Amino acid sequence: MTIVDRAGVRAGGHWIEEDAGEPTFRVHRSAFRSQAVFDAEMQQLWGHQWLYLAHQSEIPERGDYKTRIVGGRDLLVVRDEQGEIRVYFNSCPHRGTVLARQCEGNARYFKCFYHAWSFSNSGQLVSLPDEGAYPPGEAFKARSGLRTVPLVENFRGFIFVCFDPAAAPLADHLGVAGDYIAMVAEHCAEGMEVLPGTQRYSVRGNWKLAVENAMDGYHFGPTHATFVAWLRETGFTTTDEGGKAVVLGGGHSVLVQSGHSGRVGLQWEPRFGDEERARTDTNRQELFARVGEERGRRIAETSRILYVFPNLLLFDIEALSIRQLEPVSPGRTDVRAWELAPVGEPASARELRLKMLVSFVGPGGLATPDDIEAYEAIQRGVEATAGDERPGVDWNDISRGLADELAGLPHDEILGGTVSRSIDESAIRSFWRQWHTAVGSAVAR
Amino acid sequence: MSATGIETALSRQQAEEFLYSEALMLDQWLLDDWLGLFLPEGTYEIPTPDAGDLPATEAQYFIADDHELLKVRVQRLQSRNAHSEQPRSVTHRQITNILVFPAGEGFARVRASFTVHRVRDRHVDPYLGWYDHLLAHTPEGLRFRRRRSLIAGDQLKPGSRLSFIL
Repeated sequence: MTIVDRAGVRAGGHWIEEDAGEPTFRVHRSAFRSQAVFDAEMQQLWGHQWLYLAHQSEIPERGDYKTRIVGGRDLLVVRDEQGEIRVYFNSCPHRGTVLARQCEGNARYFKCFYHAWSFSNSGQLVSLPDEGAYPPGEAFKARSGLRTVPLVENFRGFIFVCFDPAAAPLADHLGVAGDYIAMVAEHCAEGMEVLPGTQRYSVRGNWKLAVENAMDGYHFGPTHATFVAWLRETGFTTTDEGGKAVVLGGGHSVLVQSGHSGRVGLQWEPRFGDEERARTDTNRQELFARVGEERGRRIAETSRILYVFPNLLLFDIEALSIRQLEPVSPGRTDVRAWELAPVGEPASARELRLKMLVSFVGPGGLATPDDIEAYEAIQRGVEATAGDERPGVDWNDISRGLADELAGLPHDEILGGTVSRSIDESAIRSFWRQWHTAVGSAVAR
Repeated sequence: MSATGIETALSRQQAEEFLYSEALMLDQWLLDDWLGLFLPEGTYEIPTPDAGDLPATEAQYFIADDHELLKVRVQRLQSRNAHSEQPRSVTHRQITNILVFPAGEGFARVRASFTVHRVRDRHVDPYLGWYDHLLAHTPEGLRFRRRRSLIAGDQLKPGSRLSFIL
């Protein structure tokens, strides 16, 4: 067997085996099951990568805050009195108590209930009872402020954090994926805002299954047969025919679909109704004037599912959905999904947008439950072969389209990466290669 | 009796009877019968816990079906390709704390607590929450104008997808 060693993939097969002779790409199933892998991921990957935290519109006013567990750490993101976005570990510097125990709110000061130490939303310790028993002078108070997350950056409204102070800047991490985030931000001149109502749910499946699923055009027909049938009935054609998977590097990738799909406010289709038709025309003219017709058409007329390694999925489809993945254990992942919408859009468009997306995505939609079924069925299914050391038995196959990939996929300047069919698995392989670079090489199977 | 001849006052016992019958229908997966309990403009809603009092036209819900989408949901759930409910969840519903409030001519608001257990995949998953329904009196009996389930807590727990009717 010929083992191909490239992109940092460890030859000889601990987690990934690539064979160029009979082009195959396989991933060992313990990557989904093992606690050791999970622990290594938390340390090597979630502890060092840029992670999506929140959208700036979620905390529009001074004092607005959210608490959110990201990379296993309880974080407090707040807009301080100067209007600056700050991210702290949600833990009292005194004795470690969780400081903000609500999911969200507005606070000028955060007061720990345990010993009543109070902190301004800019992080300074402003009062503590019986101060005289502590070292005199300002030094003690100055170093007892809220502990900040090492790195925080705002990219076009999307706030990312990184727990590794030595990490490269966010823009380097995002690379071309940043341009796809920018396209989302450019939908509307007045900006974009997250709508109220978070879909928070938990699945009994490894987080990597959610990534594979999102970057997998191959599953759409069989898994979503009932959803596709309904779309056909309503005169909306959907197929992955012509869909492209674009590998962007750094583990990021995007599925791009052009031509047929309706996109609220940007690309009209009959089921959207006449009022929306006129509005879409106006929007497109404004968009083309603002960003140029070529880029404007790209923004308006293609649907994109973007994966930003490791925890962000952006669905720029009929409407916009931000999905954040948070691993809890090898077999459990918390998922949070928000809708993003143009600021100031009319109520009728807002209503249509919400209706389109909620009918499809989320644990109560007509499509996502079947994806969840897939993650959960895989998580149970991969237990069956655990410990079977015979060649090939305890492995998943991700070989689809590998021969084309080995022959050399075309690079597309505008799309920003190597292009294959979305029903092939090149985007999933790019994820696994990045995963292996980040974590797989650091832990033995 | 009102001028239209339709009963307008709803007793708790009638509300109980209606909710219990509905629960039995759902536990037995008699979804076409269940769909018949809705007015043509009836809706089925499950708000997200942080949506507050905002309507589905302004906040993202888990489920915000108008009658057309509800028909699609019911049709889908009866297909063998509705993988998330193949095999079907076994559900066990308990409804208590029923209160009836007036809600204008011909309508009643019914609130209740529910505990629904879903049995599937070697797990028993509890769903806790409240109903906040708007029921209409019709010559055929009570019908849903709005069937709303509110989930207790800020997050759906593992295995707690909403692929069945909650």
